[in-house]
Amino acid sequence: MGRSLAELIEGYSCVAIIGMEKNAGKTTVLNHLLSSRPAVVQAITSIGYDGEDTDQVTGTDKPSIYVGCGTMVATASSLLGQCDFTRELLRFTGFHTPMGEVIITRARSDGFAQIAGPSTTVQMSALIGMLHELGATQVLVDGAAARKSTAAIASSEACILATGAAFSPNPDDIVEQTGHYTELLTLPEFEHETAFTCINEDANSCILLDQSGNICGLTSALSDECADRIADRNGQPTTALFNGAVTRPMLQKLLGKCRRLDWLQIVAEDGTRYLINSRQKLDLTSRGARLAVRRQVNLIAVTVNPTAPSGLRLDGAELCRHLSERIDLPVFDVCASENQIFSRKAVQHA
Amino acid sequence: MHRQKKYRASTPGVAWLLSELQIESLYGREALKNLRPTKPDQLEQLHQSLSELETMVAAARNDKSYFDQAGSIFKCLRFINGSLDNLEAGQVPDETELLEIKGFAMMLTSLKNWYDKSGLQLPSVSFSDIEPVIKILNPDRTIVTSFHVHEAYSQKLKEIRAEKIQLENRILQCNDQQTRDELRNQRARLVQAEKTEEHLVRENLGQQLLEWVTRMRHNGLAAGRFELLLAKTRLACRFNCTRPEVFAGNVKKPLQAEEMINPEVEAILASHGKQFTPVSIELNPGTTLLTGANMGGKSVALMTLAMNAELATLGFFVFARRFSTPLFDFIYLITGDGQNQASGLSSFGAEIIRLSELTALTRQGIGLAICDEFARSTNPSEGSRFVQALGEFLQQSGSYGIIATHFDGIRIEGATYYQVIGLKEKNALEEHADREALLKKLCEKMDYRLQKINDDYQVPKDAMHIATILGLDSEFLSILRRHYQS
Repeated sequence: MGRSLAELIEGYSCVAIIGMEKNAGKTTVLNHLLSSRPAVVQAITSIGYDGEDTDQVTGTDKPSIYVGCGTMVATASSLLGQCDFTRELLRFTGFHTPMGEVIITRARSDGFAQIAGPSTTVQMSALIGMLHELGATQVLVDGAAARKSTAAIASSEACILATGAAFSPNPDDIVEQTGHYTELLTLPEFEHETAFTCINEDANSCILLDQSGNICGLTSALSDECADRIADRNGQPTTALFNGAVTRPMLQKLLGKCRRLDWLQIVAEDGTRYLINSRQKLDLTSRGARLAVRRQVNLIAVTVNPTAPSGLRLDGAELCRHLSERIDLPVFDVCASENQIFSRKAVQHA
Repeated sequence: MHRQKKYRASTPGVAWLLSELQIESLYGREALKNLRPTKPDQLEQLHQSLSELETMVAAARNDKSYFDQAGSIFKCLRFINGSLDNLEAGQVPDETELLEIKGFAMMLTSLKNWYDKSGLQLPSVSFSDIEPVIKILNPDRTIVTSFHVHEAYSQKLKEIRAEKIQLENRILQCNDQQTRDELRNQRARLVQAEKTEEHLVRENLGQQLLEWVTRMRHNGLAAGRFELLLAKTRLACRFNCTRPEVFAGNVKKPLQAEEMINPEVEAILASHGKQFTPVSIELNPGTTLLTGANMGGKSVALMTLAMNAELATLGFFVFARRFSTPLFDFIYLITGDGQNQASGLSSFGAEIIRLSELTALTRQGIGLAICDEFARSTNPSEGSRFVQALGEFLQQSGSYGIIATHFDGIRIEGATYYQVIGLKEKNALEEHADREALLKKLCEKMDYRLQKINDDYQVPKDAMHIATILGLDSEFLSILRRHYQS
């Protein structure tokens, strides 16, 4: 039998849990990791605020995060009243959110926590630093759903991807999209720091580099002519660096202009910036284009929530098996019962 | 709280210095915001605050790290007036407010301890003892920076929490869903009881803290004043400033400035590898007229004087070897660059409006009026009459006025005349080809110092000479020479 999820994250000082979709079971994973009561001091925070006790659309109960005594919780001041663990306030952080300033607390009993943390990469990294300074050995970050998870990814050592029935009622679709997304997150890294630093941070830019790494073009990634500028390089080895999103319309236009793309390498900040589906990715790669990222995500596991807020319940074991065939990573069922790999007992025996 | 608008500096030099001050805490920034020029009847207070600054500067010069510990406190000092307002309004403080107040009490206590030990004993800075606030918010013997609603505050709270923890352990060990849900419901009731009891404890803490609010506010203000004083001290040490001698405005003694420096211009010069030539000048009540070659530093001299005079009224040390000044009622600049097309004013129009304000001020008190090339943008025959009139007006006003001008033939009964010494060895550098080199050479050959002259002076006619040095087109120059000769 493989290692449990709790064992997998041992040794990482910061682990982010990101979801393919809302209700993908992030909270269940967090609760599992928190309740495994490892020998280390844990801390938990979140990218922004992930909402309410019940899902506003479906009206279903959403699980709350339940922390154990001794856990540090970094959350916004106005949510403290909704946390029901006995707590000690350790310090202010100076990071302000719409829900108030983020404050670091330590639980002096078990209890439910409402968590809202900072939403920028810079603040999240600083907060993680503060938590370590206060004695936390492992920080868990409740990352946002897929496309908004950059801050979580950028400030963590390892990531867990949560997927499940909430994403799609069709198991094949879940397997395919999760596999596709996993591939994007783990695309190979491309290193050329100088080229990236000359891109304006705020703008969605695209820089073109020639074979020897010299800049040979700069355009806005959002403008209509972005694909034209890339296509102008047809046949000459080129790297296109994007600091923002790599969008579908742009790639569609490029695919329409160039039959072969074996001269092109596309580089995005990280895998979440590729706003493309698996078919489009196949289209690109089959024509020879290479995709890369500036920062590869250290994805260590995928978790599956076979139930959806709608009440739909898929076969978890089956789904896990299919995902395992598609993805070369440990896959866990968050709803699996006691005797399975995910359960706390299994962890305690290990 | 009484809020004032931020002080607007009268001179660009002071505006620059105020923006350069290192002030970390909101209390310090409030103190800076409340900075105001000393009023004529507050000369004694000014002397006192200059003496305080002198004590601080001496301590800092003696030991560079003297203020490090105190300075580090301001970096993390939170502004707690909001929490104090809430306390006074009778609100029950929440946990974050109590954490904030505790942090403040701890920091101010360590600041007070440092200050008491330092022996500085500044009359305007005193800290009340608020150590009991820490004790109220830290019932344990060990003092920690964190805060929680401690069991020691209430036996009932202690019991509720003990029971709650027992339940939590049972929940943790329970495998049966139904029993677990039941236990959770029991826990939810205990959570409610815990919250109610915590509220009572916080209410009680709020009442205990109420009697300390005034002392905490006092300490906040004192901390702000001290941080501003510390910022003034750092500035004085960084630029080796001196204490100004300030006397009453109606004494009719001269303003004496020896070897003044302009830090802003000095920094720019230093970045080009050049040095600032210190400026000395003496102003009697009445008018002083300053003439001199173009590029001779007249404007810089005027701005340096204005800045130092303003610094003295604000209780700062000055950028001079010696600076003795009346306590002015006002310091007023007319610099001729007030052109504002949006308001439909030409440069001259703007000057006239400034002039009206100046004349009104001179009727209310004794001030320093600084006029840089007044009326330069109108025709010379009328412009020189304006300058003549301005000189005569200021001479009679009792204020101290200095006017820089290029106009010839201004003579004012009783006025003092100064001139920039100007170019040395006038013919030594005419053959340079490179403009950069010429400009550098010109700066080297220029003597920026001011010298007192008699009233039979001539306005220097260096314009053509300087134009030649700067490499003006030779055809143009030959035409120009014809006109000089005719």
